[in-house]
Amino acid sequence: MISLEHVKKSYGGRERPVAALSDVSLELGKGEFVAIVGASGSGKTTLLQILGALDLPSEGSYVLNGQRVDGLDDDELSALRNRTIGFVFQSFNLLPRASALENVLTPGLYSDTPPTRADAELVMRQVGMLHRSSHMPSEMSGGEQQRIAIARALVMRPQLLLADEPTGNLDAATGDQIMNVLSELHRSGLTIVLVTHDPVVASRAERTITIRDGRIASDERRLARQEAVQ
Amino acid sequence: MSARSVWPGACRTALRTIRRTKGRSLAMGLTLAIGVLAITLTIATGEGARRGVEKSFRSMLGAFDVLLVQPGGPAMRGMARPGSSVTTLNPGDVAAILATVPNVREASMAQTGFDAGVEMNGKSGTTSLFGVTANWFAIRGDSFQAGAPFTSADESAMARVAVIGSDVARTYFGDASPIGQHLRVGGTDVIVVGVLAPNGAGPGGASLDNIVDVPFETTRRRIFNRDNIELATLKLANAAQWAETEASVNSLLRERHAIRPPTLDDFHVTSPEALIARYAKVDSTLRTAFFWVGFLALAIGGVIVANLMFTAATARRQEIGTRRAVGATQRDILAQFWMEAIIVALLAATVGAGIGVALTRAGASMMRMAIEISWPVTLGASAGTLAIGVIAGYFPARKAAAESPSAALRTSE
Ligand SMILES: Nc1ncnc2c1ncn2[C@@H]1O[C@H](COP(=O)(O)OP(=O)(O)O)[C@@H](O)[C@H]1O
Ligand SMILES: [Mg+2]
Repeated sequence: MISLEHVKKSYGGRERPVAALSDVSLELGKGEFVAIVGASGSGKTTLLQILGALDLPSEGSYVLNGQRVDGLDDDELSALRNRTIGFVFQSFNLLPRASALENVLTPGLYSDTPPTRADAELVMRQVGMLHRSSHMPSEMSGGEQQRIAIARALVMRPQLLLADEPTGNLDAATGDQIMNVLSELHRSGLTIVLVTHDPVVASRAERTITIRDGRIASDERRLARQEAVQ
Repeated sequence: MSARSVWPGACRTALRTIRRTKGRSLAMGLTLAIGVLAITLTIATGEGARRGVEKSFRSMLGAFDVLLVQPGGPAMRGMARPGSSVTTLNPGDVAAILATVPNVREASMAQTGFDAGVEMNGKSGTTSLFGVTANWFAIRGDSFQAGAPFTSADESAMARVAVIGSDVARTYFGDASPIGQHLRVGGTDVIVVGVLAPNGAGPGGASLDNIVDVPFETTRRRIFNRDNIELATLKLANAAQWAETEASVNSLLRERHAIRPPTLDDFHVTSPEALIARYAKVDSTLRTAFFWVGFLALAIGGVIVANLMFTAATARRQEIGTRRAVGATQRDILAQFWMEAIIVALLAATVGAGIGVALTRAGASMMRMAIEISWPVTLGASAGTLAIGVIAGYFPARKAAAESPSAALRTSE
């Protein structure tokens, strides 16, 4: 489903480029649940942003569902994110002046085929937040906000869910509940890539890719253990 | 690419942001609204003053396609000073003007006596007694509520006939018809042949309807027994050339009166345009000041809008990044931020103009002030405000839209 080949990403000017990713090649199958781990500053967020078409590689190629992503223009990238990719962030990133329901419906503003209110209520029920639909973000706990953020990521029926430290701002118990929601989504067939530096969180995934200094240091599949846990 | 229009979503989002950040929206809109309000009010009072002056001059002068020649030098410039002791203008001057200045098609003459005594039906009072040539009424464009003007035959006969103002008719005849009735004015018995339709108040606020007009030759030979006149009204063939005609009349009269510099003129020529301009100028400096206050408020409002929008574009980087992540294009972000400024400006323009119009109406009816809404200015100021919103909002919106989504999302970390 996803294929990165020799992807490099550097920031800054031509004179003093900072390499955030140096030569990453990666294959990711449909329905996989992957954790990306690594030290702070190793390039995890950069990799996730490239996978999420928020940024383009400086070098190398990115193919998603058979389509070259590098080379798309800004509008095409926006449309790709809108239709195909859902994002979950560490600080939830809900729009502060919009209710839970309005937040969930936000992607519809940027779509030719916006989800209906019933679609939004369906995904809110999926994350156990239907009863909060009229609440504002400031009236919700961190765990609740993250559930709404997941509902927003799901409302366009994406093929790929990307989560950058989704439990980073939550206590262990709440983080565990969020991971339960993600595992449930994985079981229903969604492809998930998760960035974390928490080994416990990473252990919920089937596959752990370790990044060090912008390179893949290790890539382990732990299918057996994942099944053993369940 | 997709044919999706970015505007409906942008409007909805912008309206929601405006509604839920009332303080900021108020800060953005308030100065703009004050600007529109100030401009609407100042122009309304200005416009009202100008139209008020114009209206009272129209009542006094009748027609505007005339020049007025009065005795007395430029120091006496101003309103006609009938009955003054200046005796430097006479029928010969007027005849010469008619004969030699081509643009003067016709001329009427008037002798006046203020505070002429009137008696009738046991009542007595005072009035302004005018001795006027028979063409006076036609040149002024007067209309009659009863009877008709006297004729040039009445004039050559020095007939004791009179045209009276509507106030005189009401005071001395009540509901009865004055036509054919006697009236004693200035010590002479006259027969009323016509009653003028009401003219209202002149520029000084005094009634123009307490007058008695008798034939010029009648006052000249029977009542005042003098030759000099207080006013000649020159009807122009081409009103647009009043300035050139005024110059010709000036040089002709200077020649006839043997006036050479440094001797000052003993007459003066006035045009209605000049009179109105002089009167309407009253407190125009104050109005200009208010106008600039309004203008300044609009300019400051524009700066405030731009500033707050720039601040918003920085403070809301996470929102921008998040919207981009869920599929907003650059144009979506541009449209959303731009619409916020445009809608605030639109609301400010509507509220400012609305309050301005309401205050103008209230002021006009409560204080009976001469103020009148100038729709072109009010709409112009509103459109200007909207334009300020459009311009002041564009650059911050463009900055917000140009933000790279990946960089915008890193601000939260
Ligand atoms: N916009 C940027 N400009 C310059 N350097 C950046 C930028 N974004 C990230 N970096 C650098 O790239 C490297 C990788 O960052 P990141 O992908 O955020 O790592 P992680 O998510 O693993 O902490 C870091 O050294 C970071 O400082
Ligand atoms: Mg990171």
